[in-house]
Amino acid sequence: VLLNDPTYVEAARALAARVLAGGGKTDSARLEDAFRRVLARKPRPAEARVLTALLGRHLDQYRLDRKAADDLLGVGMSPPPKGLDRAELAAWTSVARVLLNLHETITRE
Amino acid sequence: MSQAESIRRELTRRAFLGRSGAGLGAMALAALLDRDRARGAAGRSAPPGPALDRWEGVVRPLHFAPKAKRVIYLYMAGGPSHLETFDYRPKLAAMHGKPMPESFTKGQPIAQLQGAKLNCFAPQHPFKKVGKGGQEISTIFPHLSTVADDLCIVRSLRTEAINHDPAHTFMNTGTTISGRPAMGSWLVYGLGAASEDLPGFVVLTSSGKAGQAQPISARQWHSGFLPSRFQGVHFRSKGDPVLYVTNPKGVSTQRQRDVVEAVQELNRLRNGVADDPEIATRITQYEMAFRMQTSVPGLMDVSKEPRKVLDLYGTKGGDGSFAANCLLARRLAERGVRFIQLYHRDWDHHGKIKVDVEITAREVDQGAAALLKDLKSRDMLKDTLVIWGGEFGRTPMAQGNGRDHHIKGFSVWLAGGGVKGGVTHGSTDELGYNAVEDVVEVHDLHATMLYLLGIDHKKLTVKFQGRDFRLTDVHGEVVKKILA
Repeated sequence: VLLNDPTYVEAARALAARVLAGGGKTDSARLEDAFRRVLARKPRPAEARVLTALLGRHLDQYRLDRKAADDLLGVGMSPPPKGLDRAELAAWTSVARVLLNLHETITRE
Repeated sequence: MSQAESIRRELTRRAFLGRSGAGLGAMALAALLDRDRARGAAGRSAPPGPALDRWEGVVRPLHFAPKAKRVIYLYMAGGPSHLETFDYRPKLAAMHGKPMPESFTKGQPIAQLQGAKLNCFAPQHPFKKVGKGGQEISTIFPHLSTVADDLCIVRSLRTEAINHDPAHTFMNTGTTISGRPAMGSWLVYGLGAASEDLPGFVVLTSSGKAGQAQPISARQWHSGFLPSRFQGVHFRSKGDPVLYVTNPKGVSTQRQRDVVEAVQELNRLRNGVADDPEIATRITQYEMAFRMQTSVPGLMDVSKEPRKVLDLYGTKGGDGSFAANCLLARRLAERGVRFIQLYHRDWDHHGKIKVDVEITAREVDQGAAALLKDLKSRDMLKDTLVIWGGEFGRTPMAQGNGRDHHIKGFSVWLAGGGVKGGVTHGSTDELGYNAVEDVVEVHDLHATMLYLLGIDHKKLTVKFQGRDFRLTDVHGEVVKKILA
């Protein structure tokens, strides 16, 4: 449910949009912003490596497959924000989906 | 590190409290995961991704040579009347309308008939002697009557709880106290899973036209103090069987795999720091969820089933009926699911039992009989234990034109995997009130089920809150007389 529920995918897109709009100019600044928003801590280097790799891979793919990017951004009821690169937003949505599905995110101890 | 050790660790709610440092557990988990990765890299074809840490069970070797490999439990929720189904009581017919003798009812628990006048109520449907053994089965089961020679009817079951939810809890977990593992969870924990891309314990539900829709809590298939990977997974029988089993738009299988892998990787990294035993379970669950995205659509697609099989069950499939669930049960059994539980929620006939019990019986009769025939034709009935029964029976006394809940004697049947067919075991008294001959307690049913699957019910234990627990707690005798 957390992976595929449209509402959750939409939430991931919204998080991605925020990070892109106000999280900073570099990927690492943006990643730090996303971590702070979701987990209230900074990413550790190993974590950043995994997510940066994912970001790069999906960014390449969504640049080549604009239709897939549009499909992903169309999930949910709110319209996707304008003025952002759609492939970039889609790739960051993948990163946000990861963050929103972490054990650390969804478990309260 | 063996699986048994790893589970012991998972069972510890806060593993780190018992250890001086966090290193050992984290190393052990890493070893476990590396082994899985190595297995995955060894080039097994489908499904993609690393091999799942398939649970192999704690009972190795088995305590007995198993007669059955799996269980299909047809759970008749609401409490079917034994007096209109499998327990023919002519004396009750003769006493119709007369007061129920106080010798039966004095001081006994009563559900809704408290303070009411207790009068005898005749069986509302005739019975026929069927099969080679001449078993007595109600005429509301024409299809089951044709497989009577495979049925072992037990007419002497007894339970402890007189209201639905606690009685379900007792039937499923062996106690009326919530929070203990369901029998399916115990079985998967003990025997391991035989499927890599489906859960070991699957639940399907259906409701009937009489519209009672008996509430049934997800607690009934909970794993209690066993790790959550052993809990039953409820498949919806209409539409998407598992909510959101399909990828979001724009996400290919490979991209979904990438996201799941990243989640797993970050969870592993976190586990190195937090050392929370449930993280291991979470990792397994995400892997299973990803696999089910592939396996479940195939499971549900009955379009390749031959016409004659669909006709046998009387369903086209996918309509959420009990019959469609019976067909799915066979497909789940073929795919290695260990414990399959089908709830049909419409057996609570407090009123107009004559009409309604026939409606409900019709909803389960053909599907249940078809399941036995279908399993038999695939040579699977011999190692599949099928159980049919509810949480309790119904009173010999009238409640208007229906019957109230009754716990002192009721009927179930078993078929297949290691039980005698064509026999009737035990009996209630002449008015169908008390089980009097060869009484079978719920614990005995559990002990027998475990025995047939190769487990000594006294040896499958888990320590919790300072003592050993088992499905049968401190009770249970294997019912030897019904073993083939």
